Amino acid sequence: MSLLEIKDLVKRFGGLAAVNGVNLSISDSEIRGVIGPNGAGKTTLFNLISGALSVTSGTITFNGQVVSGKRPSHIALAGLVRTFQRNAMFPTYSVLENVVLARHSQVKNNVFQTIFGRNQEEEEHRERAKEIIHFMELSDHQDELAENLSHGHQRILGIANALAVEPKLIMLDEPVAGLNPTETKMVTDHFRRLRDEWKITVVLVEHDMRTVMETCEYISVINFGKLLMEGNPEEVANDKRVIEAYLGSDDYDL
Amino acid sequence: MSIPNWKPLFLLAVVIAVGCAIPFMVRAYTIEIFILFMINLILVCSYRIPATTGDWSLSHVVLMGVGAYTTALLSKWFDLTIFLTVPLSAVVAGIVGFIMVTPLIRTRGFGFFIASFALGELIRLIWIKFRYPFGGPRGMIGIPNGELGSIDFFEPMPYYYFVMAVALICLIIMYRIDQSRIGKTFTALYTDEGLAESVGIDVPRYRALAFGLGAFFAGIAGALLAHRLGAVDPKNFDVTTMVYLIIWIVVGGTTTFWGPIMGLILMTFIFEWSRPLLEWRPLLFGGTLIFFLVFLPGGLDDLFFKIRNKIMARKSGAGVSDVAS
Ligand SMILES: Nc1ncnc2c1ncn2[C@@H]1O[C@H](COP(=O)(O)OP(=O)(O)O)[C@@H](O)[C@H]1O
Ligand SMILES: [Mg+2]
Repeated sequence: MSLLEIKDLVKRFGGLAAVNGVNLSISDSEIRGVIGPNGAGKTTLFNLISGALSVTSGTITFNGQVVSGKRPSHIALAGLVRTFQRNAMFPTYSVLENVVLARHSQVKNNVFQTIFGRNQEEEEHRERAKEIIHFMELSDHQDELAENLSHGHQRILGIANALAVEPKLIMLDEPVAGLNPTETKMVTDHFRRLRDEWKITVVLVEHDMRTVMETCEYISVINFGKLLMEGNPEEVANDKRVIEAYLGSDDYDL
Repeated sequence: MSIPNWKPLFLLAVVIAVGCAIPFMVRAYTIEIFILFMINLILVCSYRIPATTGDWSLSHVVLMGVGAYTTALLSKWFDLTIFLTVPLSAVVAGIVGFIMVTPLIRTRGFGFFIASFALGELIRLIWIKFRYPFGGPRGMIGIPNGELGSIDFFEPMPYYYFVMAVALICLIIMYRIDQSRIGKTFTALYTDEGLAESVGIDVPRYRALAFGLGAFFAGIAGALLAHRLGAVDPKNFDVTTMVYLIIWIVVGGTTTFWGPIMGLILMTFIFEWSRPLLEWRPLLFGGTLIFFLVFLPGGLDDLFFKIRNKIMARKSGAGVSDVAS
């Protein structure tokens, strides 16, 4: 059985169908790429899955549970978490505080225990947050304010914040958009480790083909809100329809 | 064993010592001013709680009024002691706050501001329209001042100490909330709502929690006020009072716990010193508000931190040049 199952998903903005009948099936421990030219509907698809947008029609099932129609926070609790195309973090807090705050879903103390208690639990969350920061190789910046980090490190912090939720599946929305080649390498190096070392299913959404080709084992191509084709990187790279779709836009750079 | 953090404890001891000494050093009239100041202190700090989530309401003094009316009803009708009316008023105000915020949560920013005003006015209208039991437009009188054994809280001095104790407890709890994960979550969800939701923070629930907590402490301030004045009047909780509250918090800033306190202290001084210039007061307060909005939008809080950072930067800068020479 697949971990994430998307059936006939549609999202309309007025007359425009940004996502127009997409079917996707992602199994446990995959590294899946979702590509498509700018404006293909990738971010919209993402927002639908994470609950940030409501679906027009169709269903999304995660881990045997229908999640379409739920709030993002509830979907995160189910173990499905997303990162943002922008640098998303809590800017006025340190790296460590960011990850501790992002562990919100794991907190068991109630309001009274949090305010009046001795907070043993808080200590455990700090320890786990340090592990995550170490895993993402951010330990050197642990006490820096998030807003003072470089772009690359801010993106990595975004992923660390997502990992704090202890997800089964993480969706990364164009994680290298706007980064220079060094920063890009720094970020992409982590993707495979997430799956290989922490057994987290990764869905990588990109419009930069090269990053996806290097990281993913299986790729779904989206164009005009529809699934164009699916296959391994080689099949995708040699597919006429894919090349055309990218030629039609100005970001063909294979 | 953890090492006790002596700095805040020392500060607390100084505040308590000064607070205890004040009634012996000033006239009875000034004690009244200090009592009012401490009630306002609870109020302004409670207003900051929902403000940290970005929810600026125009109904906070109405919730204080809910506490005051609850105290009036409980002590007149059921003869409850002040030691029960104060906590019960807080609970009632907190519950009313929770009910109020349920529809408000669907709005943000300006919408929240205006909708909260409408709901607050609705409550005030209920007080004015229902002579029974709320006393109508004139409110209620004859609320007992409270007592502890044979000590009558009608006297300013004992009531001063009572209010000081309650204010200290409230401020310590509010400070703990601010420093806890909950307080940080409030600020975090304001800085990035999308990110907060994506890591599992139920934003509407937390906004409701902040509003309810604010209402709870506003209710305490209202109860203390009702016992002091011996009366409640719906006019005390109208938008004019609300404007004062907003001025305090704009002048102080909301970035840290200390901002609203600094704002209240400064504005209380200005308020008391401007007594001879009675008719100029609205102008003076309006001018101060505009000055802060234009030149110091972060309030005293922000100014304080900027100055501190400058001094630290200069110190470390001097250190570097010392090494260089
Ligand atoms: N909130 C919105 N309102 C209206 N149109 C939108 C909205 N979000 C996206 N779109 C449109 O939907 C299409 C797909 O956008 P998007 O999902 O951001 O594409 P991608 O992430 O693949 O670049 C675009 O034509 C875009 O203009
Ligand atoms: Mg996009």
